[in-house]
Amino acid sequence: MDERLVARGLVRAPFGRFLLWLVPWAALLGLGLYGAFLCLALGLNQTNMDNRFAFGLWIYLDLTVIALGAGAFFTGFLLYVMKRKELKAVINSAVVIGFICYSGAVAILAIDVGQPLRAWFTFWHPNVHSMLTEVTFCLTCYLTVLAIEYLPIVLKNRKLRRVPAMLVLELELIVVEQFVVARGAGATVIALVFLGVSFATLLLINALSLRAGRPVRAA
Amino acid sequence: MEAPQKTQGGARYGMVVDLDLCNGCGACAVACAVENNVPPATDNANERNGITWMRVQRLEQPGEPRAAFVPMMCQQCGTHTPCASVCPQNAVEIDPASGIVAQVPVRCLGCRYCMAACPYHARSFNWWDPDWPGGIAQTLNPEVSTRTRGVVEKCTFCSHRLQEARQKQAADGGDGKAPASYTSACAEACPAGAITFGNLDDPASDAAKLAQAPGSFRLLERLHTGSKVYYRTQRDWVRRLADGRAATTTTDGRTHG
Repeated sequence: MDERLVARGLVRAPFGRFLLWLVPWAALLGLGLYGAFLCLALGLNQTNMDNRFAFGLWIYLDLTVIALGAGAFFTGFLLYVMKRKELKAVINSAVVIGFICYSGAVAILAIDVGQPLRAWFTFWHPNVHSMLTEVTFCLTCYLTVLAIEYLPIVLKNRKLRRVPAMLVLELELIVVEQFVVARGAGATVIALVFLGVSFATLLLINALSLRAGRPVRAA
Repeated sequence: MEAPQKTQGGARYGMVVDLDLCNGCGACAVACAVENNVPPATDNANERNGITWMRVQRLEQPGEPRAAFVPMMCQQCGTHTPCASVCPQNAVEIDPASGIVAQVPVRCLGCRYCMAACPYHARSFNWWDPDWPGGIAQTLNPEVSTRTRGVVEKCTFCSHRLQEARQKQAADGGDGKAPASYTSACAEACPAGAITFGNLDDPASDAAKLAQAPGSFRLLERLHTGSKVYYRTQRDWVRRLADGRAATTTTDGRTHG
């Protein structure tokens, strides 16, 4: 079944060689995780920042990785708004890259500030004159949009079809889509509330059925 | 030149430092650190990542026989306060009753935006956990809370002393608003009497008189921060350096922007 996922004319690498190719990236990831651990456990004295050069990694990421991630929005704009259908082939990759960039920037920011657990204070008592408040709000909005854009990639996974609740959800999504298309964008809020309530009910039913000793079976 | 101060209650505390009296002994910096529970530097701290609410900078000019010493602390900007503008979560608060720019360490995220914004480099970040070796913790001032790792701190004009002075004045039958007994630890400690602390809105106070006297100036006045720390000197070269544009100063002492 998996060969349907491999492009025609290509041979799938053996598992061992595949793992070997992953080693450099895993090493890079390990280095980053070690750096994050040092910053979070021992403090920002582990970096080379000081009181004169108080900004470091986060500013670099804000200017480069965010710019790269913005490509996801522009690709989405061209495809969904300007109807450039030829971009359909790359939209999934663009959204994945954008999601990695934006979530990565937020994660790096959480490492690069002194007290990351206080990050929510910006929403609790925001200073609207600060550009960093604006950046925080924008990053939150962008990440939410990207998460919604990313959702179809997850939900279209074939394995998910074996969960009955997911099939119902898919049906609901189609109903909601038709509803929004028919009634215009103003109906989106009603649709989202409907979707949220029904999905919560589904989860509850699923949980209850598991509890009653009737595990969800493959459909 | 600058907008009027938005203060209520008639008090606007400020400081006048006479640079010709200052001999650079550093007693003000020590008194400040002791008063405000500034932790001693760790072994690997240097002048760039240590915490100083008050530092004494040495200025020299070729051809001038005497160096000048400039005690530097938060200049308590009044009209435009860069740190308060940029803080994303209002951890910098300006008290309208006293004009004091206060830092709320428990609300600080540690993003260090205020440090990048401050034109006077008056702010320090807690790069390390505060450490009180050898029983120093026993000498902590109970009126000032200690700060944790990962937050920014700065001079508060010893605002806890203002609270004390207000309570004392109210207990003595006064209105408890602008007590004349309020002064900062650095002004108290200076052996040369170079620092004058007082209410700039009270025309009778020494600080208000000195601040308006000829020879008084503020640092980087062209930024219109409306700072409440004034300096005095009779030496022109010190005065020019305080503008931060010594390179563009003409021979007759005028500056160009």
